[in-house]
Amino acid sequence: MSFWARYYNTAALILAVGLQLVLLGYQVRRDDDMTLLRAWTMGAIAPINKGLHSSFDFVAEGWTGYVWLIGARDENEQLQRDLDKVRLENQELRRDLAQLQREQTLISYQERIASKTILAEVIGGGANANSKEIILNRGRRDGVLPGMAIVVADGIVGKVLAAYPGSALALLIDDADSGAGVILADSRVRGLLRGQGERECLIDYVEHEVKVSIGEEVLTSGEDRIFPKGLPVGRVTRVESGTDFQEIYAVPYAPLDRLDEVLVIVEGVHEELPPRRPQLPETLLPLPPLEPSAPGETLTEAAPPDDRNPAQRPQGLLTDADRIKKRYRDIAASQGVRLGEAKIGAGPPDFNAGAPVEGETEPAAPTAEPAPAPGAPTSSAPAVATSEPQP
Amino acid sequence: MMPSRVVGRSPLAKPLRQPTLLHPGATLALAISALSLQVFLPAYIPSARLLDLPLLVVVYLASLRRHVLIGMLVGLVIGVAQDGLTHGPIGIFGITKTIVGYAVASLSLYVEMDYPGARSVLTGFFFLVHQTVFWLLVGGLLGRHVSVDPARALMLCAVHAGLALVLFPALDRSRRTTP
Repeated sequence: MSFWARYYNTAALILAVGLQLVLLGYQVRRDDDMTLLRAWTMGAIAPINKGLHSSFDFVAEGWTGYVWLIGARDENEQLQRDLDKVRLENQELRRDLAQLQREQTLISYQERIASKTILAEVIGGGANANSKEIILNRGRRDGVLPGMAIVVADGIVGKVLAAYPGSALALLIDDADSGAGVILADSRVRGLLRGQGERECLIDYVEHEVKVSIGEEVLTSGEDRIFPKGLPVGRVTRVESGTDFQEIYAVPYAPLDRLDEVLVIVEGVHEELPPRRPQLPETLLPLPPLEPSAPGETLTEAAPPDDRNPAQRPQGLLTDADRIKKRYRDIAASQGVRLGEAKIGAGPPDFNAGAPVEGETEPAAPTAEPAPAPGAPTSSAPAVATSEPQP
Repeated sequence: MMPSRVVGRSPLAKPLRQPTLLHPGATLALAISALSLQVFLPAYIPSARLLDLPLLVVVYLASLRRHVLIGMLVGLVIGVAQDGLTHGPIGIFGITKTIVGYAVASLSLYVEMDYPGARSVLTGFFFLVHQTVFWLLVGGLLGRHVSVDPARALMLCAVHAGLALVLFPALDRSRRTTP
């Protein structure tokens, strides 16, 4: 047996290992990553692994979703309990967040207004079901005294009725016994806001001549010595004609039925009233079209004539009043009476007689009594000229 | 020249049984499956990265042929392919598995490898050989940090031996007698 035949396999091993050692040394020295060989290997293995991955996911999903359901009920109950707990926490967090936002709004308003205020929480409602009262958690110890105004960022709320050491009773502005001096923002008309025991409040003592529009803003006037001037109150919702004054109804801005935190004004300072909105000028309707006094006559628009001057008085009728005036003048003329020139003792013309037929301004003197129709009752009453057509 | 598979064999030894082989396609599929599972399983079972499935396949395939060169080549190809799936230099697993393939094929000339117990013990042994060569190459030759933990190596040796005890008889079902 020759040497090579005896060590053939060993030589092959040494050669294979040696070549790989050379390859290793080459990679280490040249920092060559043998990208091509890796790409080949990965290209052969990756598709298989993708298939394996998809198959495994499919089987695993089927197994866990449809077969392996031991403990699913217990897990479901546990999850339901957790969900209830999380929902409760979420509700509490939402409530805290809402309270924080309300307080933030109030604090922002507190810094914005000139009056000195203190923050108070509403800890209860009044004991009287027919009255609108609230109880605050601030009292005399905090500087709250009877007669102090209570506001929120939206508008005024009410006033303190009674102050105790650690709490206070307040009356809301929509209570029937409540009142506040107000001013309408656009017309600058002053009135008294009175509660009605409902959502709407009545603004009293506003004259009929004052034009009040729906939606007009209502502000405090400061005349009641409780609410400083210029605080927002509400908005006019409807205006009705009352007996002596207008009945103006307004809805307060403040959410009086869901108050949580309020500001008590301990030192009131009047605010500037907002500028008035520009008033629209009164619109005059155009004159009615001229009517020709005679057929075929054409009238053209010209400068308005002077009615007091007969020469400039237009021939055509101008208004409905002119037409009525002419009708009665014609009726009176048909009875031989000129309006405004009747003799003393003479009776007034019978305006119920009706207007004379066109062209029959003077009544023709009756020449003979018309023969009554056969069977008709005779009458001694004077004949009355009517405008009805004669047979 | 004498066939390589009988080189070194004692004339007094009991003649080995006729080797039975896998279909070439099945051999290729087995190698690719081992490599695929080697990178697939750790994605779902993290502890599976401690296994060396390509090593099991090298041991199994090299023990079938009873041909030293073929066993060595099987180790070389699978080892280099395994290197291609790692970020380390090409050749680390190539060298280790070339040596293992060579050793298994050489040993199969003397030991009857059809016995499950023998193959299981040899698999555990060659796992230790594989680990030793790996440590030498990475730590000694390349000078890189490698954690040498003999206790863990012994435990993994037992795990691989157990796997061989289960897997090899299952793979034997697809073998056929050499024509």
